[in-house]
Amino acid sequence: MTRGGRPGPAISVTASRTIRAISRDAWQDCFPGEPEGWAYYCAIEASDFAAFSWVYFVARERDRVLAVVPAFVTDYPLETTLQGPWRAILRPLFARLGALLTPRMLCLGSPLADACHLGFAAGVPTARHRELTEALLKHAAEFADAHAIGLVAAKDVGEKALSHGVGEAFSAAGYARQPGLPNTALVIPDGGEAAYLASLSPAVRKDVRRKLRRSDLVRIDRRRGTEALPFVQQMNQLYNAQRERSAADYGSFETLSEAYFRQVLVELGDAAVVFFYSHQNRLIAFNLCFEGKGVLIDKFIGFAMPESRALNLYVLSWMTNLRYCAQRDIPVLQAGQTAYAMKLRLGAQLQPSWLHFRHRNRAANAALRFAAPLLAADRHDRDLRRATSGASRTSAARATLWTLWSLLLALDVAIQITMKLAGDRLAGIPMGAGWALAAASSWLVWLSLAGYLATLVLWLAILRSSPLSAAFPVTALTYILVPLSGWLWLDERFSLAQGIGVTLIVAGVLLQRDGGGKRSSGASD
Amino acid sequence: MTAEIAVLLALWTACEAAGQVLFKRGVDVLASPAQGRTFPLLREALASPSIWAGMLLHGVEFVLWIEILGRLPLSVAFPLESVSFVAVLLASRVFLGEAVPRRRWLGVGLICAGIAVLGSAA
Repeated sequence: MTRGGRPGPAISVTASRTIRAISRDAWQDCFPGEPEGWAYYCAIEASDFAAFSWVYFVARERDRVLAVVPAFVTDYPLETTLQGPWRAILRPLFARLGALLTPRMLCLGSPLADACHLGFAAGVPTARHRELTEALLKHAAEFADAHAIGLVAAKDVGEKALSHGVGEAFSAAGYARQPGLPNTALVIPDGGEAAYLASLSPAVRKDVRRKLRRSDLVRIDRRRGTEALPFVQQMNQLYNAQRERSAADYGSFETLSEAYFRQVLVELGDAAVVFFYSHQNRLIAFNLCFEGKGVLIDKFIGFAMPESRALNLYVLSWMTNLRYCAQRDIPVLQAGQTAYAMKLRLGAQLQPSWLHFRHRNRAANAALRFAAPLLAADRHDRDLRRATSGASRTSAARATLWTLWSLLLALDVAIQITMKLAGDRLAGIPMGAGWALAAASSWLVWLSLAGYLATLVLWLAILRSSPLSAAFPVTALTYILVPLSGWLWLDERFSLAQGIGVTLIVAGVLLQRDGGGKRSSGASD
Repeated sequence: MTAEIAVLLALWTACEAAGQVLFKRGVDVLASPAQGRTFPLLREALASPSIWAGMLLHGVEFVLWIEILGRLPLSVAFPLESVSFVAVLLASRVFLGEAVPRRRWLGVGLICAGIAVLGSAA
């Protein structure tokens, strides 16, 4: 916990419930060129998102703003982080433990921003970033304590934002981290559309050209800020239809309203650029973008189906944004956190981002760290799994380990049952040739044996990446699975003794975890 | 009768601990998980004498355990099983030189206590 800086004038941190308590210029000074700035946060505040309340932490020195970070408070259902099969499997658990698993959360960042806007004033030397981050995090922890909030997190913290000791400040404050949903960005090549097309592989280029062939049937109108106000109702309808079709469901994160679109157009003004796509005088798609110095954020998109698919509007909107960037000398098109496969195919790159989290209750914190790999969103997004490498490889290894353990434990319970049945059948026979013959002719014995071999393979795979003394105690979880599944799926009651036994075993297994609180991420697993 | 069960249990525990040590020795010489995928392991594993020996011991253990389950009610056999957790931890320390911090011993103590309590409830 060493601090880099000299004992200069004291840094004071405040928490404001509205961004209007901070001067626009001071905020913007921390985010040069960023279109999701002061005005955008004003728009979010005015849009009445009932599920969230807003906080802004500001670090000052002698009244001068040095660093800021926006945050929000919400009752965050852990269930929303689950995607894919886990969601269905664990639903009964969430239904029963709802309140327990829906902790109040203070989260740095914004549910509606593309990144966690932790920013430092232009004049602040990078050497002070760590110290300032520590001050902000300390105040966030105090804020959480004062409001009885257990879970503190920071979402969508980009890799670049973690440099200059910011990442170290998070680990020093006891935060664990795991990969979050990456953003996607397309670097616009010099030479615009022609150069872009030339940069694609021949197959993709051919596909793009084919998909643009019917684009003259579509009328594209570009409107800025308040010019688009007459269309907010349609934008909202198109967006919600789009969202309902999407397989992923992130709960109240990103549920938009007409008010949101209206406020964004009003507050951002000319920086809000909307492209409207019409076919035979009917509006069939919109694409809301935010324009900054150096980046165009492709923010929200909504398509009417089936026309949009038939006319390949996605590719057309992609090219429209690209042409707009080229024409305005905007070097980067930032394309958001969805539909990764398509965007990567079209030449975008992934920008890793991190989720940091810490629970002030030590037991809850240990449980969270333990379960975190299971919750990692990128494990359940097929595109992402294929696309990610490097940064999330440790997370991949841990997720594999989780899968191996889940399979092993489930199989083991099944085998315990068949073995007990087999044992009962052979109980009366004395050991020897007769016993062996009886055993060999019992299908239960063969079934147990087959299961046993399967668990052996899983077990060897686990042993390969864990020390024996660390892995073996975890197998004790097989003892709690029988009463636990009875409780979850068969409505059986836990007896007091079973409750105590299960608690003791779980506590014992949790104590086997490596590292406790101090190990920073990235260590070998 | 009781002495017989005690011998069976002792043998069972020894097989478990020795088998686990052999498995670990076996997989440690295989390619690291970073190099290979999860399951080509099976092919490599079957080429390892150490893993074969561990499987043999597990086979013996399998027979012993069926025998024990036939002689004892599950509620009694069940808590006795927890001896294996202590045995395996000891074996991994002695034969594999793994460092076992006190926290882990404490955890295994809790696990054994938990298994005993569950057994009494069964």
